Amino acid sequence: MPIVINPLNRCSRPLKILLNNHGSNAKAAEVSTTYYWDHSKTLKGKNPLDAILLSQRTNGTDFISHAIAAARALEEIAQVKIPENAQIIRNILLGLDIIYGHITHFYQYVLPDYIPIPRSGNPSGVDVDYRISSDVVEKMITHMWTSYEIRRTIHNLIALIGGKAPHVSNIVAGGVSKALSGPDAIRAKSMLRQVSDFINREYTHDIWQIKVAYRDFFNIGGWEGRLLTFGEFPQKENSNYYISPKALDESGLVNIQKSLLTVEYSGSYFEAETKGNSLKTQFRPVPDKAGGYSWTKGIVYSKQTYETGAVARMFLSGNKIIADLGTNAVSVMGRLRARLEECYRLAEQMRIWIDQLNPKERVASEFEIPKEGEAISFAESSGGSIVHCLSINKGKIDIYNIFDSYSWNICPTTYEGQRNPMERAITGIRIANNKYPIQVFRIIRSF
Amino acid sequence: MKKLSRRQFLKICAASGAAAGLSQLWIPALAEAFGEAAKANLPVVWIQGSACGGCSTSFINSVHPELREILSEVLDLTFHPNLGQTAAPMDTGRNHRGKFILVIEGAIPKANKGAFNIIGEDSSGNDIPLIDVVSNLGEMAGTVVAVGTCASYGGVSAVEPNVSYSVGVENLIDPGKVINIPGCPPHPDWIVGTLGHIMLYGKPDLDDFGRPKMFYGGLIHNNCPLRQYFENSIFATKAGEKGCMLMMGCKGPIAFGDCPTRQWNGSSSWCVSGNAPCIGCTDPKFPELTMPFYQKMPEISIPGISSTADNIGKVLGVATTAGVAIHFTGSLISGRLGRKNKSKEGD
Repeated sequence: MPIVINPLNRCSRPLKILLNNHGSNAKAAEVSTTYYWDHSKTLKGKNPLDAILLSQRTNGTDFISHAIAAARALEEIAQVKIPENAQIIRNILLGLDIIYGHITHFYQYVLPDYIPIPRSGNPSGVDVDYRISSDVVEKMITHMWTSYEIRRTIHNLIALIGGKAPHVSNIVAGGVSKALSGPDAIRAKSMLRQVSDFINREYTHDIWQIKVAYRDFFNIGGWEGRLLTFGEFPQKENSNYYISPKALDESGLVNIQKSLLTVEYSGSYFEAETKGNSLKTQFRPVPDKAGGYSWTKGIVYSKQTYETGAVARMFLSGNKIIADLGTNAVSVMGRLRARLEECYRLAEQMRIWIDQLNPKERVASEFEIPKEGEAISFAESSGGSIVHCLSINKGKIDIYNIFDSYSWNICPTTYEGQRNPMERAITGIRIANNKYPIQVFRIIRSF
Repeated sequence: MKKLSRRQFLKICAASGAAAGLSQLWIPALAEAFGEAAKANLPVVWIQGSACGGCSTSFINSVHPELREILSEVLDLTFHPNLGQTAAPMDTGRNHRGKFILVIEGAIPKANKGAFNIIGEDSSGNDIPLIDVVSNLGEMAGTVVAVGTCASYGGVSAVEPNVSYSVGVENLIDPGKVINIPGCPPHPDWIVGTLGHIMLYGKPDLDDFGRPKMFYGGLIHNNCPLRQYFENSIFATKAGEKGCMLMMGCKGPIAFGDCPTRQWNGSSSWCVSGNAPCIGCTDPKFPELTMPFYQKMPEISIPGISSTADNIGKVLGVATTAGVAIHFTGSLISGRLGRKNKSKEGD
C-alpha cells in the first residue's frame, strides 16, 4: 500500500506526496503541487511594465524576488544599468524578503514537526518523536509568537521603503521610484536592530535546541546534492557580487551558462504549444494529461535537476559553517542551519547597505521599453532561485514564463526519468509510522 | 469591560491610524469580539483556494500580541487542512451548521469540474476538488467571508483568457451570505475588523459589490494626500516628481478603500507613498480593468456618462461621482453592475 499525503500543508504551496514503500522503507516517491497557479496566460498581450506588479502575485512571501526578476528582465532587454542607489535599495528589500521567508519557514512551517504546538494540526495520541523538554518547548512557543511580531516589523520596514507589504509598489523598470530619506534610514536601522536581535537570540536559540536534539537529521534528507545559485546582491555596476553565480555537480564547481537552462514539463499538467524545450516554450494547462502528476513547470540545468535555496547559496559562496558540514550540508538540519546562517550575513550586510546610500544620487535610470526583445533574468528568493523568461513583440508581452523554487526543488520527473531533489531526499528513508510519517514531513519542510 | 455598542465599534473600525486615541481601543474591541466567539464556540474555518498566499500573509501581520492567542482559539493559523484533515472542516461545518464563519482565500477554478485545484483526497483515494469543498461548506456556513480580490471577484486568477474559469466565492454561494474583502492583498484591519463585526453584531453593512462600507466607503482619490495637486492641475509625469499621479496611471479615482487615511504596515505608508500610482486592487474588475497599471485611464466626454456610472455613485453615496465621471470614460465603468442591479435585471 503506498503512503499518500494529500495535502501536506505548511509549505509555500500545499503539496501531494506519494511514497511507494516496502514495509518501512520508502522505495520511490512523487512530490507535486496541487493547483494551477501560473501567470503566463495572464501576462500575454499586456504592457511589459505590468509584469513587475503582476508577477509579485506569484508568491505572497517571496514577492520582492519576483518584482526584481521582472524588472531585471526589462532592464536586460533595454540594456540599461540601474543607478547604484537603486541597486542598494533593491538589495535591502530583497534581503528583508529573504529573512522574512526564513523566519516564516522555521516558525510557521518547520517548528510544529519538532515540538508540540497547540492547534498546529498534529494529531494527538501519535508518536511524533518529540525530544525537547517541556520547559524549553514553552520557551520556544513564546519565541514562535514573537516571530509573528518580527515578521510584522520586517513588513513594516519593507513598506517604509517600498509602499506596502505584501506586494510593493516602488520597484520600477530602471530602478526604484523612491529614495530612502535620512530620517527613514535612521528608522530603518532601528527596526533592523530588532530583527537582528531576534535572529541572534531567539532564532539562534531555537535552531540550536533542535540541532542538538535531532543531530541524526544531519544524515537524513540528503540526495546527490547538485546545488545551484544565480548569484545575488549585485553592487557597484554589477562587478561585486556578494554571492556569485555557480553550480555544483558531480564533477565539482561549474560556471553557469544561460543556454544550458531548459524546461521540463513531461510530468506536469502542461502541454507545450510550441516545439522544443527552451525557456520560451508556451504552455497550456491540461488537468487530465496522461502522465501528468504536478502543477509545477520544471526547470533543469544541463538536463539535470538541481537544488536551490539558502543551502545552495551558503555552500556555493563558501560560507564556512555550511561548507564545513561537507556532504551533510544537504540534509534536513543543514538546510535549516543554512537559512539561519544566511540571516546572520544579510542582517549584517543590510546595515552596511543603508550606510552606503547616497540621498543626493538618483534612484532610477529613465528609458523606453523596446518594442521587441527577449530576456532571461534571475533573482534569488528564500526558498530558491527564480527565473523569468520574457519576450516582447510589438510593444506587448508575447511570452512570460515564471519559474520559482518549486520549479527546481520539485521539478516534475524529467524526460530522461530523473527525479527531483525533494523526491530523491525522501526515497529510501525509514519510516517509523506509515500513518503519520513524521520523517517525511521533516524532510519535505526542510526545503 | 462594558460591551461596546455597534456604533462605537464602527467608529473604532473607521478610525485612521493617525487617530491615536481611537486606535488604542481597536485591539481591546477586537479581543472582545474574538473572546465572545471563543466562548460561544463559534469557529472560523479558513480555506486557501487558488492564490499566492499574500492574503493570509497580510492577515498574519495583524497578529497583535494581545490578539494572537485569542485569535488562535477560534482560527487555526495554519490556514489550510493538513494530511487526513480535509474532512475536519466538513465536521466543523456539520457541527456548527448555519453558525460558523467560512473564510475563503483565493479564487475557485470551475473548469473541468474543478480539476485545476485538487485540495486533497478522501479515504478511498478519490480527488476532492476545491470547488466541492467551497460549495458544501458554503452551503453550511452562517457567513462566508471572501478574503482578497481573487476570492471576491476572481481577481488575478480570472484574467482573460481565464483557462481555469476561476471565479469568486459569490459565484458559487448565495451572495446573500457572502462578504467580500477585496484587495491584493486586503489590509489586515479590513479582515479582522470584518470578522470582529460578524462575531459581535452579525453582518456589517455592505456596498453594492458586497464590501463592508466601514472600510470601502470612500474613494481613494477623495482622501488622497496628493489631492491638492490634482485640484491645482499639478501632475507628476515620472516617479519621484511632485504631483498627482493621474498621468502615471493612478486608479485612485475608481478604487474604493481607506488606504490613504488608514495607511499600511504600521500606519506609515501605502502604495502611493512609494511614489507609485494606486493600481485599483479593490476594484471588482481588478486587474483586468486597471491594467496597464502605469497608463492613464482614458478621458471621458461629459455627455457620455453612462447610467451605470451614475448608479454606482448613487448606491455608494459618493458625492463626487460627477467629478470622477468627468475624468474617466463610461467604457471603464460600464459593465460594473453591482449585486443589487444584477438581481434587478434578473442576471
